[in-house]
Amino acid sequence: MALLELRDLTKQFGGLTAVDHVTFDVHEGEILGLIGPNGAGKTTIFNLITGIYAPTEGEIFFDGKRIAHPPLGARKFITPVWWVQWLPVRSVREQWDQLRTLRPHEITEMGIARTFQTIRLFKNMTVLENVMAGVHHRTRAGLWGAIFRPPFQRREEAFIVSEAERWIRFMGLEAYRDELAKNLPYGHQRRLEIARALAANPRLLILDEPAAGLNEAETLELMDVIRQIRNSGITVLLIEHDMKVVMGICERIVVLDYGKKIAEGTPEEVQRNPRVIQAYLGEEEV
Amino acid sequence: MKSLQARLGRIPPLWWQVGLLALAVLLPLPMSDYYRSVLWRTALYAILGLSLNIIVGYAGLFQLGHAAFYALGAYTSALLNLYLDVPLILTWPASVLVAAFFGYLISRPIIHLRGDYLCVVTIAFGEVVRLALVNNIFGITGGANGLSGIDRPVLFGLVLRTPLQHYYLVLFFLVLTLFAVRRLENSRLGRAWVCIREDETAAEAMGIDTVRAKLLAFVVGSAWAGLAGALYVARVPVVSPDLARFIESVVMFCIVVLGGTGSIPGVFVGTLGMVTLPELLRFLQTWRDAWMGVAMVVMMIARPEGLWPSRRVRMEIRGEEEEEAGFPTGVEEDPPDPSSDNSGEPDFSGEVYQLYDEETYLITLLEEGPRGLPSEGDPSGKDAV
Repeated sequence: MALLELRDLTKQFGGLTAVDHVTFDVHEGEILGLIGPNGAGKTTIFNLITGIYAPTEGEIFFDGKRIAHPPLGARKFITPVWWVQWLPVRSVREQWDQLRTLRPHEITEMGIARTFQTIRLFKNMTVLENVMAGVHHRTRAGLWGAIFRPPFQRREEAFIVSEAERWIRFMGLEAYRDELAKNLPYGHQRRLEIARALAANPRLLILDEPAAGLNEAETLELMDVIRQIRNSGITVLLIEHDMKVVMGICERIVVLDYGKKIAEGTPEEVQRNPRVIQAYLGEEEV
Repeated sequence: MKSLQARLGRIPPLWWQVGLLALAVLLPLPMSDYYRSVLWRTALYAILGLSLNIIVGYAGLFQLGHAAFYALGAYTSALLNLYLDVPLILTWPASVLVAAFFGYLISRPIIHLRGDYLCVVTIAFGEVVRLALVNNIFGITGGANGLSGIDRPVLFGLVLRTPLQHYYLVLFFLVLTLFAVRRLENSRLGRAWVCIREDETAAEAMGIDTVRAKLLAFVVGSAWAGLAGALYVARVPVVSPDLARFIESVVMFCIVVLGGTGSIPGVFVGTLGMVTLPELLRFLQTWRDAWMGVAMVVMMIARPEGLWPSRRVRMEIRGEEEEEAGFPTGVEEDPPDPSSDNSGEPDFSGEVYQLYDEETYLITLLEEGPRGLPSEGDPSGKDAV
């Protein structure tokens, strides 16, 4: 079974269809590339998967569980009865879970972590603190834990730091541990964002143009890192414009144009596909 | 010249804490009752400032109705004492709970609002509370005159009457608040608040339940303002709707902003500036408020990050400007990191990438039709195939 399934996914903004009945699967343990010209709807798909937008039509399944569906036009309708989720009746709760759409943090908890196209680090926090934020949803200490600091909270804090340091080391950022995120060079900021996402312990890592703005050497390093991530058992879904990266590391590629899927297959198949060449690669030499 | 802030930072923290506590305990002893009352007021507003700092400073929620929770705490304490004869000390937990409950009630439906919208709703809530009290809601709040004849608090058989006793009472709770707030700051929850303030979308994508965290900040801050209200009633056995006046909320907000949003020492500096100083300058009479206004305008221009800002907020406000223009903040700066010098490479951190933002793109698309984006001469070279 596929890890992530998109079924007839459609997203409209007003009259504009940004994503148009897109269906594809992401299999466990692969690196899947999502490519297409600017504005083809790639980032919208990412935002749909991570719960930032709700789809207009279609569904997304992650590990067999439905994580996104149209909100039944129902916000106005269900908001006054939000309290039913607390009723001690299982069927009611299940109905509720069917009705409401998952919020982004819940999707992260299920095992999907992402990076952003425009880097969105916590700029004035240190590298360590940034990565610690990724561990947040795996720990539980709240208000009382923070004030009274019982043993479990201290253990948890130690766990958060060690886990964060592990991913900082993995991404080769040890030297910058206590540096502020905004002071890092651009390439390292990209790496830090990946480290932060990895600290969330995802099964699926979603990278939105990870190589954008990187130089040649940094891009090669990045490709290496992405392979390592995959080898450690994390599935990778990435948007990328740099064809060297896409063709170099992706096992399969999905091509979008004007919100529609126009091709899917191995890099070789996609490169030979006439529709892809026409829509995307035709203007320039490959 | 090194600033006071930098020089003070060298003294080990333990000495600081012991020294400041000793000062706070000994300071009122040689004073007259008037100055002891001023100190009491200062400590009380420091508690209010610290509680509001959780909401405004850490979680970054604009709350301009904080006095409403202060008044709710005060009235809860007074009503329980007057109508049910509950000893004043036992009403304090109730004040905390009532303020927390209203904090939850008011913030739950509006917590997803951002910045100014949230601000407007909290102002409205503050006015609702004040008007409800003025209009003698349920016939128990005594209308515009408020309530009087409240008992004095009795602590271990000792009736607290003198300003000095009350000062120590408030000081005790102030120390308690400080302890809690400092621990909150360096905790999983505190970090989550800062993440939300820095970038809410990213925080949510990292698995932080932003709604829950923001609610917690709001509820905790409100609850603690309720306690401050109860402490006010303990000293001044008369409550009136004036407690919930808008200007009170503004003063509390200014305490937080004047000293430096999100900074604990800043709250104390702010309290001195907004509460203690005006009190001591009473002889200036009506000129006082005018000068206060001028001083605040000047300060917001010259030092928008506050008088004693937290490291992080200073950077948020000053940003790169500080590094490039060498703006004299007076604080020792770390030597520039050689690795951050990427002058040889194009800078992609700014507008260039904003062009590819989803919304921006859609707007462009709607205005100019598909492929409206500049793909030729694309500075990032992203389309190079």
